[in-house]
Amino acid sequence: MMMVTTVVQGQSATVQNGKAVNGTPTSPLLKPPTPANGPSHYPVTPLPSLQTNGPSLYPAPTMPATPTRRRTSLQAARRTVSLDYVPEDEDAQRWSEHIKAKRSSRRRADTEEEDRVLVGTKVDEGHENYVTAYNMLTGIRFTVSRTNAKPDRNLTDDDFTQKHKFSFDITGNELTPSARYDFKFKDYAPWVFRRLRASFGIDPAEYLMSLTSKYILSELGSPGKSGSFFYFSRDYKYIIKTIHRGEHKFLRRILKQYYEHVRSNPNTLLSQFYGLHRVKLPYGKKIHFVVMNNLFPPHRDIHGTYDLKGSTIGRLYDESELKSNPRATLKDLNWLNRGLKLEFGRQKQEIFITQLKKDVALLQQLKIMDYSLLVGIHDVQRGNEDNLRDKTLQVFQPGGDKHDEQQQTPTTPGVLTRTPSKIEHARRVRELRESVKKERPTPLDAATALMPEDDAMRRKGYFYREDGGFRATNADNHPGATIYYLGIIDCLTRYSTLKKAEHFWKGMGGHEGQISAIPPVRYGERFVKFISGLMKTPAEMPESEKREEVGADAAGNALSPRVLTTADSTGPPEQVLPAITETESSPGLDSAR
Amino acid sequence: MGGSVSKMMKKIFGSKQMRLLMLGLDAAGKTTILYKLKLDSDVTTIPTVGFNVEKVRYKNVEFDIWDVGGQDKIRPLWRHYYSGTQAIIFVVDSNDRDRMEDARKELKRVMDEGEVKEALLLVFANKQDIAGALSPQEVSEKLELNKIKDRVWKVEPSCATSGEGIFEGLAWLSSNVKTPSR
Repeated sequence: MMMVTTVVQGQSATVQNGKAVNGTPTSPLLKPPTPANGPSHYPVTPLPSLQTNGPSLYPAPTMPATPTRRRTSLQAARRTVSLDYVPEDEDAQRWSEHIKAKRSSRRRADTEEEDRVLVGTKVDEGHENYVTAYNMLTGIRFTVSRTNAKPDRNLTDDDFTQKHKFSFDITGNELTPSARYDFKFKDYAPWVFRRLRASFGIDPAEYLMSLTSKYILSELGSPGKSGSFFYFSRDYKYIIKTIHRGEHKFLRRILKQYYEHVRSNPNTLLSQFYGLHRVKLPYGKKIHFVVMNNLFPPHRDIHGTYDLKGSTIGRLYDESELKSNPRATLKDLNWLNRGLKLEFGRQKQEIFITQLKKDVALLQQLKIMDYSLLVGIHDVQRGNEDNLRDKTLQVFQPGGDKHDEQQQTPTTPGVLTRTPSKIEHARRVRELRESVKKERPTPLDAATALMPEDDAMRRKGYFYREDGGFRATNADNHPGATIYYLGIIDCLTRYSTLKKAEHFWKGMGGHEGQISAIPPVRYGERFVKFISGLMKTPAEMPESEKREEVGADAAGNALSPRVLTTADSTGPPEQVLPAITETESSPGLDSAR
Repeated sequence: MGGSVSKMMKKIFGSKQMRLLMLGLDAAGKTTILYKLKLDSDVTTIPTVGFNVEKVRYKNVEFDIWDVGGQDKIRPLWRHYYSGTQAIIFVVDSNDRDRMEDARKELKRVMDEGEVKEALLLVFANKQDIAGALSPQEVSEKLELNKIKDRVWKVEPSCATSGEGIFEGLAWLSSNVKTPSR
């Protein structure tokens, strides 16, 4: 009876009879968002002021069903809320509350609040890169959905070289659902990356939702030296980074070694690659990009960021610019000048250095250089009190920012104009409890009690386990006052002719040992030596506790002989000393601790 | 090239093409139904995070069947598959009385979407082989299907593992789909 035909991959895209249904095949995105003011929608939108702090870990489903004027496309605006915690028989009541809330003058602002991104410039409709971002996310959703629906299987050699090409258009076809724009998308080694995501403890559903539930990304300032663009997923967990064709080819070439390394080193400090794709607009150029981990947590202020390579030339960030750019990434010399140390007790030191060496060994073997150790420092004592993220960026992570709830809710006029209902009250109480439980920066004496892990932080790996990072310990192995967020980044630079040229030119000056472009093996050795030198020795431990409290004599510490020894190992001390004088007058010094 | 030949054949023999979207709560049996249709065998499935799509030919109709994962977390992604869908197949586990209300809500939410307002609705009251399963009538009451106006719908009792009811469902779809004007 039944005849079966197989879906042929390369089949023409036009087979789908797109006009059959509605007469006009409409993309989901072309429709203006349906305002949630018809009875056809479930009136379960939580109160706007509470949304950002709702208990759901998945922000997208809790989007308000309220229309935005600014954006006409975000379909999530039409989807209502996941119902798990809303008692159904209270629909009517909620409905009326919803209407009231809608009428409140705060409505638009609240909706905007929902759509804010954590850092950088939001890429939404109207942004010049919106179409590219849209296509990237659509492609990611499609390809990840396609691969992750299948039962897991073992990899074959072919999996590492696999590539699948898809074309998207407005009607969709038998292979692809409809998309708003025409574009082509290529997915590389889908099974390998599926496995890699699993190795890194990424839940596929969460990955999909984080990246693609809403078409919002944020773009980070200007492309760096590499010319790459960075986009953060809205929840700050993932980074999409555009890469050059050369890097792309290189990653594909080393994928197998990388994969095997990750499998045998689940705690690797290397960048975690979750996907490798390419997008191409009609008549546009091909854009290669990777999806990777964001080392920094969405829910913790980072009080200092350092990019450490172990070289000294050109490795100083002008600290006078810190005033205008307090979140700038500082470099090796800034670190040394400040006399900073990685404060790990013996056990953690050992584990860290061992892993570092293993990772660097792989990079050496693959002839990679110019990578850095990225260090983000969260001072538990300061906690999130400076509210760094609230000034420069917006946080909506549930329980992630108590300030929102405490300060915003009471001062929101629209909410205060009416008495909170029982449900609302109960909700608020529960949420408050939850966020209190979750949030408060831990006082030092109770420093062992870290925030309970939430989904956001359930990343695997020894170095990402403690609140998403790696916590300082003192000599007795008791937790210290700092959480470090560490990882080896920019590991796609091969020691190529270009770098050889750079080496030659910069080496002309005779400081060959201090420049960043040196052959991979030496680069790795210098890197490991440098990072190892940043460890606090047991003898320094008690002293460090003192400094922790005084806090300000960091510069004095920088002049201690120990630091000079460290500097010795990387470059002549005279490289460091003038810089120290420079720092002492720097106003940004204290703020970075 | 093969594609264009088969398109010609289709024109000559007037076969229809239909795009179906299969939705429903997790563990309702969507993927099992899909592969029963496709391979005529009872395959072991995993919870679908994402989608499966297969082309199935039945009685002169070519069905593109999209089976989209139904886990709570990823239901918001369903909307990306609405466009161009000629029929929604909503699969219900007839034994899962506790979640019948969830199923009703999810179904209603889908039905309220403008993009699928012309689509047919076929409900599979699945897992009928298990003793104590709700009857199709009961399922239709629980889902409040009688409230659905302006839409052609049907409840079909089914058992995905044996294939019972499934082809009947497809037959109903193929005879009720509006012949697309080419």
